[in-house]
Amino acid sequence: MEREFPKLALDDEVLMMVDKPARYIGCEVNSVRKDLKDIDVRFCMCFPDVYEVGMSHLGISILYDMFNRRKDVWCERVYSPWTDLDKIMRERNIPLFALESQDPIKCFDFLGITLQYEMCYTNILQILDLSKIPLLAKDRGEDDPIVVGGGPCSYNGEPIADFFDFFYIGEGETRYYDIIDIYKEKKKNGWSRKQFLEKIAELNGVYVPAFYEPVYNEDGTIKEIKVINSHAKPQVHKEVETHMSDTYYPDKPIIPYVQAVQDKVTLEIQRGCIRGCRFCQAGMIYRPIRSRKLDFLKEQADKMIQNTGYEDITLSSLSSSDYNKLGELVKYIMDKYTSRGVNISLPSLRIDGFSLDVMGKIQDIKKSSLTFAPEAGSQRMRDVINKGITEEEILKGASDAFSLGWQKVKLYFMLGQPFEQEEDVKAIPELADKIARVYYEIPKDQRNGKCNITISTSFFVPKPFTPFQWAPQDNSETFIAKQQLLKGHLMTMLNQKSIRYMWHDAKLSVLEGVFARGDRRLSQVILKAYESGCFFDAWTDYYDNEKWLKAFEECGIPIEFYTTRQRSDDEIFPWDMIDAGVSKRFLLAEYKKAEKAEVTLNCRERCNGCGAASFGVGICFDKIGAL
Amino acid sequence: MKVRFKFAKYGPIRFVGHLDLMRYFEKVTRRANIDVAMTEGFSPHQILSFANPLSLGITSDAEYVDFELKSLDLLSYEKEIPEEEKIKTFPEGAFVKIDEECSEELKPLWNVLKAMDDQSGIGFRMLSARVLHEWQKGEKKETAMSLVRGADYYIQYMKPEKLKEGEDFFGDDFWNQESYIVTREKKGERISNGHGGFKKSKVTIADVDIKPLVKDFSHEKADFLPEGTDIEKLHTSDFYDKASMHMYVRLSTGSIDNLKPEVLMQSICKFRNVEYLRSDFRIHRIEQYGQNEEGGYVALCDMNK
Repeated sequence: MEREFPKLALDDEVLMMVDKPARYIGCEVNSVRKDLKDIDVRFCMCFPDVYEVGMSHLGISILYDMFNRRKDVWCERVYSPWTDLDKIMRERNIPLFALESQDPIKCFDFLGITLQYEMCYTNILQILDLSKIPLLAKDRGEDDPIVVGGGPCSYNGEPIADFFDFFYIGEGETRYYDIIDIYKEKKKNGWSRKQFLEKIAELNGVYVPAFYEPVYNEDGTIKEIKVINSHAKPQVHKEVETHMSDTYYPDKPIIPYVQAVQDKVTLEIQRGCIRGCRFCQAGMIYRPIRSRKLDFLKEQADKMIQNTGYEDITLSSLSSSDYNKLGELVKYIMDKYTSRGVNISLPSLRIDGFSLDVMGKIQDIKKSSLTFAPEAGSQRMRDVINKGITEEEILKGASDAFSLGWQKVKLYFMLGQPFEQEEDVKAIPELADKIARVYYEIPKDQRNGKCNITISTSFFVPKPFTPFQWAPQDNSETFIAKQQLLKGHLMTMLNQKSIRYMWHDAKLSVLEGVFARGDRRLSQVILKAYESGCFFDAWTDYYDNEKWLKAFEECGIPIEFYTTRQRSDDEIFPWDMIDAGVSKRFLLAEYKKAEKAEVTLNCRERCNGCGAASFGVGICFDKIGAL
Repeated sequence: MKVRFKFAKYGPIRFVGHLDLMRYFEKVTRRANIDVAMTEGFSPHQILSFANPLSLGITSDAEYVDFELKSLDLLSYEKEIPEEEKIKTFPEGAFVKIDEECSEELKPLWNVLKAMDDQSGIGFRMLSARVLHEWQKGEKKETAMSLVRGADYYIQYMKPEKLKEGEDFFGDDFWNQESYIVTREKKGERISNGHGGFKKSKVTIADVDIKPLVKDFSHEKADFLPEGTDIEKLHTSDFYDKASMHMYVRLSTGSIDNLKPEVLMQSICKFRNVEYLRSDFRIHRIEQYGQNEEGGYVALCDMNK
């Protein structure tokens, strides 16, 4: 047990001026401290949002542990300073620093930034700026850290490509050690930055944007993507972890002092999804589904709970009902840890008898709410998006839940999905009403008053590597009109008093839509927006739509080109140099099926030849899929 | 049984807030496998409480947390200890210190203290543990919070350049005053608004005399401080420069008549006509006290109730 700690980068005066100073002191239980003389490579992992958000992210937790297991590497963390500290750091010229050593980011070998959502792009610039690293990759010198991006948005990193030295495409457990080894050689042999990037470009999973040049047509679409460096490959294939039960997973997750948004231990039970919902990027880019062995999960649960003392554990995956040993895992954790006051959280479940049984055991039914994600109100729309659930199943699930004592139900839907008609929008409150009617069919003396149904809609954003990457996105006027239609129609429902409606901001979804399918020309817009003061865009209090619109205008970039435009079948996408495992041919076929509301069976029911089988693992080869 | 733990909180951890402390300790006891009693109901919580909260930025050698324990046994996932074999009661007043040898009989209590210390993060140190009195029916229950009457602080002033030539921030010219004035905002009182509700009256600014709440003071180590107080051994922040100007004070603390050390500093700044900046001071809490029947101060770690 250590007693020493590093000298803080921020002095007491600053720390006492800012909100939650514990965000910036490090020293958390299970954070890793190493001696600089024992290590060769310094890596700084960054989540470009405030500490409490970043500390909830599992990906960094896995990579942090993975890097620190290497004796010659020290991995530390950095998060976006909150707006109050940001202001002070600029005024006083205080450089951004990593938490563990409190050393400036500028002296690190690598800065790894995780890209989880598009609205954090300006925060990437904040991090680089405060670290005094040149924002554009081409301006960086030999002593600047190598800036790498990973995570879902790296599948189309084009809008931010100018800010990154390279992107790591795919799952982080596999290729980083090779990259570190090559980096050590670079230092030993005195290679330049460019030589290093050329060497790693030859590895699978590494995309160096500077080695590619998109060429545009008159109409703004892409004519071709030129490969301008001989070390770069025409397509970069994603990395896939093929040994899910024999790979890095943290035994001792860091315990933050400041309460994180997700203040619990997270156990990823499987990766990927069999369902093939057409709007879902995660379901496509994490194919094929690979589950972890039950013994591995039990062991990890033991280590994480016992090494942290956390009171909550989340079992996480895209569709946890599809994990075939879920019941056993839940029983194991409950039997062992409930008496110690540990609660289990199980999101992403289908609503069926099995789930209700499990949830009844782990939750206080009277107080918690049950969440369904039908995503569409009419059966036709559910078939369009390939969300394989029927109205019968939804109503039966609701009926079972109500008879077990649940009273609060939350329903998630999306507005603006491709081929949506007015009656599909109206079907949403109609479905909620049908669910309410199921509740009120229970005799009055057997139920406890009213039920509480919440409809929550978000606006659909077409994502790369999904069948809907060709689809036009609704503009904000259409979004709002649909919202109004829904609200109005809800008022005419029999049980409207039992139903509440919550919705998201349309303007933010439009901007997300621009960046999701954006190209390199957008980097100037992001720069302009950042320079005009935009950051923390994911926070409603700080998001400034006017400033963003102005940035687009000043750069002469039309938003609609990226959002409302229908793509042609043979269009070259800005992300075509990346191979996510699922073929473009398959995605286009799915898009055509969507137009006819034709359903595609899930991976367990039938293989549809999407291309993910090329990785040689998972559901494609083993019906159970546990590795 | 109720056990009162004394701990030090120092270094960068002085920036961890009081509310975050509770969540921290709940996890420490779980990692240490302590047999903590839980509340009834669907979502059980540990039963614990703290003494007087420590403001952000202050280090301390005397923080207290009381835990309700079901037994002194350290729980195991491998083997469940049969109920009859558990140590469910222990003599009232049993007391152990972390770096002192204890008798065989007291070992179970010391093992609990050591297990907690082993699981402490950097910036925390468990110092001692005492088994408290079991409140009987009819007795007026006291908590650590309700017991506190006073606290000792060691305060350093880091900005002598702000003072006049030759002036000592903690000079006797301040202490010899009839009263120590500080300007405070008085929170508005609730006044009836005539319609059956309440409105708050305006916040008033008034000068307050805090001298009655300053119970003792000294430039050097004095009798009122706990025996063996040694600045070199206190857990003050490792990166504090040794300040030339410092003071030991005992202040009235607790639910009634609470004087925070920062407020005393504001009074001195007002007297010396110097700008008050919280970060110009290093404040360290040396001890917290309850009172005995005669009105004398007793360190919380020396009290059984």
